[in-house]
Amino acid sequence: MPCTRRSERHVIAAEAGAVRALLERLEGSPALLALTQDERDCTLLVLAEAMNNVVEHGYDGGSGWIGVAMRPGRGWRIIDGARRVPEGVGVSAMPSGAAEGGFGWPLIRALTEEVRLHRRLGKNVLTLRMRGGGG
Amino acid sequence: MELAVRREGAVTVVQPAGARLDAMVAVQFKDRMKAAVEGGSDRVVLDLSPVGFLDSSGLGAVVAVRRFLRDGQSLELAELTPAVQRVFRLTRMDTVFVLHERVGDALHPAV
Repeated sequence: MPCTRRSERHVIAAEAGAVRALLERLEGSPALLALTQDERDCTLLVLAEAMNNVVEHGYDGGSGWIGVAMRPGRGWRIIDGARRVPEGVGVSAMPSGAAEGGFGWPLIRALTEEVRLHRRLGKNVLTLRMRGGGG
Repeated sequence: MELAVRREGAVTVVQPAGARLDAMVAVQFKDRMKAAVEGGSDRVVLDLSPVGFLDSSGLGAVVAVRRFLRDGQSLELAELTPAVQRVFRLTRMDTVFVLHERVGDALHPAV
């Protein structure tokens, strides 16, 4: 019987504190410790950006939940019950100059090889596949 | 997030106490940096050596500090950890700031 869990599945409150707590927990999890340091850093950054988007824009700071599950082959799935993500948000370009925001989605795109966002049963489902080797 | 502010000759060095500069502390960091910059010398160096995680909210807060600089005052960054360096590189914000490998390099710039 395996004594370490190689997969991760969590549901958290859509709050900055809960996002941070989950990232800290994931950082020390067997699933992420099996990655290289670069891969681990990139995974944690992408998950942070994806969850921050839900907290700040999906629920607009209101209460809600976020589900995070690891998928085979460097994949992750993030599900939330927030409002529909507006068209075109996920493909925004990296801001130029000394911008103070708008980096979230471009960072996710830069560090993943596959991003799929769809609406299913009233929920947003974001499926990500990390690039191998980190960013 | 606490900030340690010290004077090194003509330079004000600011070092965050926390290892994470993220969405949870970004606003607080910005407010405290504003106070440090306003009371600081013409060159302010932000020592990021303790920060092992920076997300886009933290990055936005660092960039926003530039708005608080008075005429002739500069904000430079030092000792970026690899994870933090990656965020600056991918977002091209490494071209917006003067970056120093070590705080000491900022205090005694090569001539």
